[in-house]
Amino acid sequence: MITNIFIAGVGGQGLITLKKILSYAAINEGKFFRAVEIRGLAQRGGEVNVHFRIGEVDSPLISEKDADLIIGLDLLEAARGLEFASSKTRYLVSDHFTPFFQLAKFDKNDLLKVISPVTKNIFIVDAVKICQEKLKSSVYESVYLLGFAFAKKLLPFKEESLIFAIEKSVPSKFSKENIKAFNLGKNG
Amino acid sequence: MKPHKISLPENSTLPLLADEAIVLGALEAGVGFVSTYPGCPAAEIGDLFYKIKDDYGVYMEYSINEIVAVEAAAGAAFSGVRALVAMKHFGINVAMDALIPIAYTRPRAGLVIVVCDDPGCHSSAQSEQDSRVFIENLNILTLEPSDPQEAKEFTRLAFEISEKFEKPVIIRMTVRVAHQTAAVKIGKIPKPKIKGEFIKDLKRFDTAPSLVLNQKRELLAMKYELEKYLATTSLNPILTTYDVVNINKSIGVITSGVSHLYVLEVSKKLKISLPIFKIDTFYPLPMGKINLFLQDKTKILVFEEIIGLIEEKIRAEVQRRGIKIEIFGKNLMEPVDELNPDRVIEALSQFLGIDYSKPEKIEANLVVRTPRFCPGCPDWSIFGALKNAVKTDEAVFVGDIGCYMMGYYKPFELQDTLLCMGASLSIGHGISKMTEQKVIAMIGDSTLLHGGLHGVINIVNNGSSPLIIIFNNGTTAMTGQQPHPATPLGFRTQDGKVQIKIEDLLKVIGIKNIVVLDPVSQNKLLEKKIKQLLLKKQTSAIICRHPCIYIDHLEKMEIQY
Repeated sequence: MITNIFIAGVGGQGLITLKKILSYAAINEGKFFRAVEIRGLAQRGGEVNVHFRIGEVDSPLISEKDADLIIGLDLLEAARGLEFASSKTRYLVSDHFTPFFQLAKFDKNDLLKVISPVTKNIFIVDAVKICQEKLKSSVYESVYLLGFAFAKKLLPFKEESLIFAIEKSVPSKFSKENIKAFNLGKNG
Repeated sequence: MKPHKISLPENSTLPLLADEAIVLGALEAGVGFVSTYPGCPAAEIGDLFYKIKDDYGVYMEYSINEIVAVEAAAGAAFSGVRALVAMKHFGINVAMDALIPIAYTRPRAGLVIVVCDDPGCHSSAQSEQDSRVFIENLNILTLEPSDPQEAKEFTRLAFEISEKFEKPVIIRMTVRVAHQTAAVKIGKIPKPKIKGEFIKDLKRFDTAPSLVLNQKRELLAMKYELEKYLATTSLNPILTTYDVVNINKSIGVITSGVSHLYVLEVSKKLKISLPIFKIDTFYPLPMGKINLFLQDKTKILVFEEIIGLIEEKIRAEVQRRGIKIEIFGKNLMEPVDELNPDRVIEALSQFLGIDYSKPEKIEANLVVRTPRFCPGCPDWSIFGALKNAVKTDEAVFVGDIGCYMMGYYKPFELQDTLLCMGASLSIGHGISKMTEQKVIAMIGDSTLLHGGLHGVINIVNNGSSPLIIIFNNGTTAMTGQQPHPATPLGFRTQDGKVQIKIEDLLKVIGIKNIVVLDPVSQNKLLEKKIKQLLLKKQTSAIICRHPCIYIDHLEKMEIQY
């Protein structure tokens, strides 16, 4: 059983933290995993992505059309994950777009136009808004999505492993808030 | 970035990047001296050492550039302290002048050099370089791990072999190895030896003209000793993939680095069984073992990132021995961009004559996301002032390596050339000498200290008049806010050293017009100074001093005017 997760976003959105959480969850359950990340211009609003593969895998990179789950922290970057998507792929995307000079707007409908010919399994959630409202910060967006993915049975991990992994992966003073974000996502 | 506590308990399993696993391997081998100049995809090696150096009692420095880092590490190893030096691909270009003669010497303790290449240029401008080409000239053992666990094991082994053979050892990784995360088991970390003694021995440490040819003979002869020794280790394994149907014993695949993982993956997908020779040592290639592998083969396919170097060496060997084998490699994979499972499956199915239809690609035609300066970055203000002061066609804007190369993008589009660390000054000098055009050379503080100062001396000595703009943000920002010698006090690698002031250096070199200002709070003044100094017939420099936003909240820079 192999689970391929492609995570796409913009620098500073917590992709590397997500990778860390998934890693610790896998270690906690004794599951083999390989991940690889691109973080070249991460801090400068450049695109960042993580390939995360759990199970009997060899390559750290996901093959074309082979993602089971694509987590998008940005609508445009989620659309860029298309090369890894097929009809079996679930899309979980934060309804949020970080604009840049060449592009001021890219919304939900723009994303759907790109990905719905390939897959119909799409969740678009208002993670940024909810985290800002309930937790006073959008930095919990990625962990909120993790909770949501867990509730939709998109992750091959137990809840206690994910909670353990969150505690291992974020600074201890933020761990309570992150677990809150996870639970918000789970119930979202 | 400040050193802080990280716990690496023995026997625990942690998710580590291969870069970080290198650190663990070195700690387990008792490394005492570490030097580096930060650069992607090797930056995380130095960064983890920087975080744990105090806890583990390891000496670690961010050196001024890669050649200095290599020389310093060699000095430590000459004195009997195990040393590791890490750099990005372009770093080895800078370090080669030292590395070649160091290969002739015989360090008294293990000396390990880590080089990370970036096929696909994920985090590099400049070029897509294959650093193995240099290793041809070095003739020293080069190990190529394919994942984090191997990175750790190979590092430990590298120290062992380096001491056994009294030669430096290289570990070369590509970005998909360096930035690959997997579970790594932590071993026992001994207390490192950090005090040594330099015991004089001319023939060992001095590459004087009368000694050098014998040293080279010794080095070349060692290749065979090494190859014999490596044959007794578990390196360079031959294995068979996924055992379903053995389609043909007369064909074989040779892999190296991360391509090995892609081949394993793809052969499972295609449900084929293949004899695979995984090459862990780029130098020396296990030619004896390769010859055995080739014995019953009619054709082989070689997988390696970027250039087909292993392929060519095997082709030469096959020709020398007059045997008939078809060799495939770069004829099925263009030597541009990185490999991935999709490229590997295509090449492999072509090689095997398997019908494989590539999944149809759906083009989304999305706009490329260009990076930009961080919110609050002082570079916004500097480029804003440049844009206001000078029309794009009124000057040649010579760029350099650092965050400020993003001035190339909208909304500024102020960069006419970009080459390598420090090039802005000398490219600018050449343009200034041979044209009537105004030249603005833009360089950051870390890059200036790394490779720009000799360019400044050359400008002054030969008299040209570029306007030098120095982005003095107090850190090596692009690669993760590592400290450098002009980083303010209180935010430094080595405490107690006097901060090097860029203006003092430029003054001593002989630049007459030097202005130091804060580009954010004195933006109008900056604009005025750019206009004024661009008219001067002598070289001028404006030092734009304002901290990178990522060090600002940790330590305010001591701004002096």
